[in-house]
Amino acid sequence: MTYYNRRQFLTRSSAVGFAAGLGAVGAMSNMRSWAANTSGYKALVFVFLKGGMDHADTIIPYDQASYNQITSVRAGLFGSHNFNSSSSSRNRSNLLALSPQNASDLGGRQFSLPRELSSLKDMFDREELAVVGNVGPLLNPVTRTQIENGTATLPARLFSHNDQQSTWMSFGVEGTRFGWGGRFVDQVLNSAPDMNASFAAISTGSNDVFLSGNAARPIRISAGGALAPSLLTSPSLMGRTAGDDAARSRIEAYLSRSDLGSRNIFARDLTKAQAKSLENAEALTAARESSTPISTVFPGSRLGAQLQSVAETINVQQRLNVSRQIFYVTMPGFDTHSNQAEDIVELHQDMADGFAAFRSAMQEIGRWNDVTLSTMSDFGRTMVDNGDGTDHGWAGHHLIMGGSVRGARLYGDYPDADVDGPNFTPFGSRQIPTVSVEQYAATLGRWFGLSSGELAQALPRLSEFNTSDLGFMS
Amino acid sequence: MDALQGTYAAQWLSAEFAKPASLTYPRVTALGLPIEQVSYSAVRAQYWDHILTSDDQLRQRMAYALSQIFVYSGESNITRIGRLAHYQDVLINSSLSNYRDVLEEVTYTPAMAQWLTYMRNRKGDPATGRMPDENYAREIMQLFTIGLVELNMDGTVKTDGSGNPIETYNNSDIIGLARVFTGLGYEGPDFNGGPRDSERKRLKMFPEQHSQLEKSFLGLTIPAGTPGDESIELALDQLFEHPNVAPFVSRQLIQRFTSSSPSPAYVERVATVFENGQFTDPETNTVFGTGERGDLQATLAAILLDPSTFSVYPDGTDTIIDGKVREPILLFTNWARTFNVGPVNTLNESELWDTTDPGRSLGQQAFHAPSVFNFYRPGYVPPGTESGTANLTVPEFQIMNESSKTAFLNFITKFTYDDGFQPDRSVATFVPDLSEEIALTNDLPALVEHLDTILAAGRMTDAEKQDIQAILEEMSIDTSSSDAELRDRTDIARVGVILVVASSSFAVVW
Repeated sequence: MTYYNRRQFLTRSSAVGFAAGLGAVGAMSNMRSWAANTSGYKALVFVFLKGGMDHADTIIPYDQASYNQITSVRAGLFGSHNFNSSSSSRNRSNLLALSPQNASDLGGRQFSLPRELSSLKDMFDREELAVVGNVGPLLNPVTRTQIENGTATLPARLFSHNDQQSTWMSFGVEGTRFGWGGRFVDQVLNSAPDMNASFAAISTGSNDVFLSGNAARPIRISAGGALAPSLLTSPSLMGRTAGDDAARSRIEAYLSRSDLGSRNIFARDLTKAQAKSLENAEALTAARESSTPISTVFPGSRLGAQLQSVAETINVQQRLNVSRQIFYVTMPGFDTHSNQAEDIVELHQDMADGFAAFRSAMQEIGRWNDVTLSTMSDFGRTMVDNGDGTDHGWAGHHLIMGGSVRGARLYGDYPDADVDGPNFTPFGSRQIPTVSVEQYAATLGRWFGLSSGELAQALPRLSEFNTSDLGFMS
Repeated sequence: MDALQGTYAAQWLSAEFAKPASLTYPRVTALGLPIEQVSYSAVRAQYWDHILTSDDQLRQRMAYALSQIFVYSGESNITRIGRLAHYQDVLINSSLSNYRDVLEEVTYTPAMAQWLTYMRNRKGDPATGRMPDENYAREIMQLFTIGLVELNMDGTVKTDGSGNPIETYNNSDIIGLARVFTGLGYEGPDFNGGPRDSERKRLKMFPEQHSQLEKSFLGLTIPAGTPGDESIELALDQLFEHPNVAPFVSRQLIQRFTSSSPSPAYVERVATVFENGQFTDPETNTVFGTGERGDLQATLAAILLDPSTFSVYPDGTDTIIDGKVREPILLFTNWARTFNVGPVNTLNESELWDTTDPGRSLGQQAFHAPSVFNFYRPGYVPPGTESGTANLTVPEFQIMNESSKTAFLNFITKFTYDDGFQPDRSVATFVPDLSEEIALTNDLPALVEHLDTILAAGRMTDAEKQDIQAILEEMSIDTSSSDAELRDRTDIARVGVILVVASSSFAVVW
C-alpha cells in the first residue's frame, strides 16, 4: 500500500524541526543569574474551578466550636447536607480532620476535608499538599472599616463571574489581553530563546486569557493528543495510487501555508491558525511516536481527560524541546446557587479522582517533584446560604499539590463564620481576602524559576503586599 | 445572504417576516418515541433537524441569535427535554416581536428559572439571615439588558471626568432587584410541587413566597407590599428603558448576523432604529417595525439592509476589515444546506448529538454553551492575531483557532464522506448531494469556480483556487470500470468540497 501513512506524516514532521533527537536541547541550561532559571524541567498546572468553588464547604471547620458555628450560620446548606445524619458527608464524625504541622499557628482551631476528598487528605498527610486560605483579588490590603467608610480601593466588578475569572487570571476585568500565566511564559522565553514556544503554554480547557502573553501563545491539546487531518492519515479516504499520494502531499503543503493572499484580516488570521494547527499536530505526533506512553489510568471525567492530556504532554517535553511549561485546565460546575449539597459532593469526588490519577502518572514518569498543581476559582462563596446553595463571594481557599510543595500545612487565613466580624464585607457575608492572588502567583512563579524582577513585571501590584513568598514551595 | 443582494432584499425580508413560526416542541413529540428510549442528547440534537428543515429561516436565525444573548444551557436530564423545547419555542415565537416581550417571556420560562436558579427562589428570612438568590438579578442586568458600564449610542464606553468607565449598577441594586425575582415556581397548586407537564408552562407567582420588602434598584423604588407579577413588570420596564439597552443589544445582534467587529457608526445606526422602532429601506421605501422602542423586525432590517453590508472593495485594497466570521454551527449548517443533505434525521446521526468537544467536533452546540456567558464573549479581542493587534473584537475566534481548525476539517471530512456514525446503518442520513460537483470533475477549473461561487460567493483567493485545483488534478481516476470511475470522481468532488468548506474564504462572509 502506498497511501500517505503515519510514517510519511512523521517524515514531514522532521522537516518542520521538532522531531526526535532534539531532546538534548531541552536539557540545555541557561544559568544567567539575572534571568529566569530554565534549567532542568518544571511545570505549573492550574486547574480553574469555574463558577466559584465554595471554599467553606471544602475546607470545613472541625473543632467543635467552629463546627457548631458554621452549621448554624449555614443552617440551610448543612440541612440539605443532612448533616445530623450519621451517614452524611458533613456529619462531624465523617469529616477527615487535618493534622497540620503548623497547628500552633491556628489558635486551637481545626479543619477537615469532606470524605470525597480522601485522596487529597492522603496527599496532605504525605506532605505533598498544602492549603492556602483566604486568597482573592486585591489591589492592596483592605479592611472592613475601609469598605464601610468608602475609603477602600477595590478591584473592579467584584462578584461577577466572568470579570472575577478574568481578574484572577489577568488582574483586569473581562477583555484584558494578557494573563499572568502568559507573562510567566514570556519571561521564560526571554531567558531561553531556543525553547520551543509552541508548547510552553498549553490549555486543555476553555480558551481564556490566563496563558496569553506577548510571546506566549496558548495552544489547546485535547485528550488523545495530536490531531492530524484525517485526509492525510486515513487510507480509506481519497485513494491509494501514486497520484492520490501526490495529492495528499499537496494537501499538506496547502494546509501548511500561512498566507493564501486574502485581503480580509479575519480570513488571514484563520489561514495562519490552520497552518499552526498542522505544525503543532506534526510536532506532537512525532514526539509521542518516540516516547513510552503513560500507563496510569485516568478517570473518564472531563477533568480526568484533561489531566491525562497534561500528563501525556509532560511525558514528551524533552522531545518537544521545552523546559518550562504552564498548563491550564478548567473544571466547570461550581456555581452552586442551589442543589449545592448534591452537586459539590460529585464535583469534589471528580476533583479528587482526577488529582490522584495525575499524581500517580507523575510518579510513574518520575516528574512529581518537577510539577506543581494548584487551583484557581472565580471567588469563594457567601458564608450565609440561600437555603440550598450559596451566592457569589470574594476570597476563597485553594489547594496546591506536588512533590515540591511544603505540604501538610495550612497557609494564609481561615476566618471564622462570624459574618458581622471584621473578616467579612459589610453586607453579603463575603470573606475579605487577606492573601492576594499576586502573592499566590509569586510563590509559584519563584519556584518556576522567575527572578524577583521578573515577578514584579508579571505581577504589577505585588509590592503592595508584605511578602512575595507565602512559603508553600520548597 | 445571497438572496439579500440587490433590490429585492427588503422584499425578501418582508416575506420572511410574514412566515408562520415553526416550533420545536411538536417536532419532539412527533418522534412518537417513549421518551425514556431516546437519549437526551439525541432529543436535544433535534434542533439540528429543526434549523435545517424549517421554512422560516430568518426567524430561526433570529431565535438562534437571541439564544446567544439569553443563554440557556446545561441540562442532562431526559425528563427536562420539554423544558428545553419550550424555551426554544419561546424564543422562536418572540424573536420577531419586541425585545421587551422577549425579556418577559424568558423570565417566566421554567428553563431559565432552573438555569439561573430562581426557580422556587424564596423571599429573605431575617430570622436565619437567608437572602434571596441573586443570580438572575445579576445576569439579567449584566447580560440580557444593560451590561456593566454605561454606553454611548454607538456602543463605545462612556467615561467620567477622569476617563474611567461608569458602572451601571452596584451591589445594592442587585440586592434590591433580587427581591423581585422571588416567589416563582412551576404552574400548579404547590410552590414546592414537581414540574410534571408544568415544565413547559409559564411560571406561576406564589405570593406568600414573594418578598414584601421595598425593592430599590437603578433609581426605581417598588413600594413594600407590591405583588410579585406587578413587581416583575415594573422591574423589566425599568431595565428595558435604560439607555444602554439599544446599543448593548444592537451591537451583539450585528455580531451574530453581519459583522464580528462592527464600526461604531453601524452600531449607532442600528441602535437608533432600536430606539425608534422603525426602519425604512432607502431603496424600496418599505417600512419595517411598529414604531415601538425595541421592535425586533425594525432592528433586524436595519442590520441586514445597512449600506455597509453591501460594501464593495476595489482591487488593491490591502487590508479589509469587514465581515462576520461564521461560527462552527453556521459553517456546518451552510455545508448541509448547500449540498441539500438528506434525509435530515439527527436521531440516526450520533456525531451530531453532542458537538461541543473542540478537539473532535465543532466545539459548539446550540443551547449548550459552557456557561451563561455563551460560547464566546462579544468583546473578545483575540491575542496573538492580526485582528487582535488591530484591536478588533472577534468573538468567534474564542472557539475557532489553531487548536480547533483541524478538528473542524476532520468533522467536515467525515460528513462529506458520509462517514458519521449511524445507529441504524441501513438508513442513510445526512448524505450530501454532490451530483453537480461530480459531473464537473471533467473540468477542474470549472469545479473550483463552481465551489467558490456556491460556498464562498466568489471570495476565494487565487492562491486558494490554484492550490485546490492542483490537488484535485493529482488525484487519479480509474477508468477500468464505470463503478471505479464514479468512485474516484466522487472522491475528487468530496476533496474539493472539504477543502473549500475548511477554507478561510468560506468562513468569513464580507
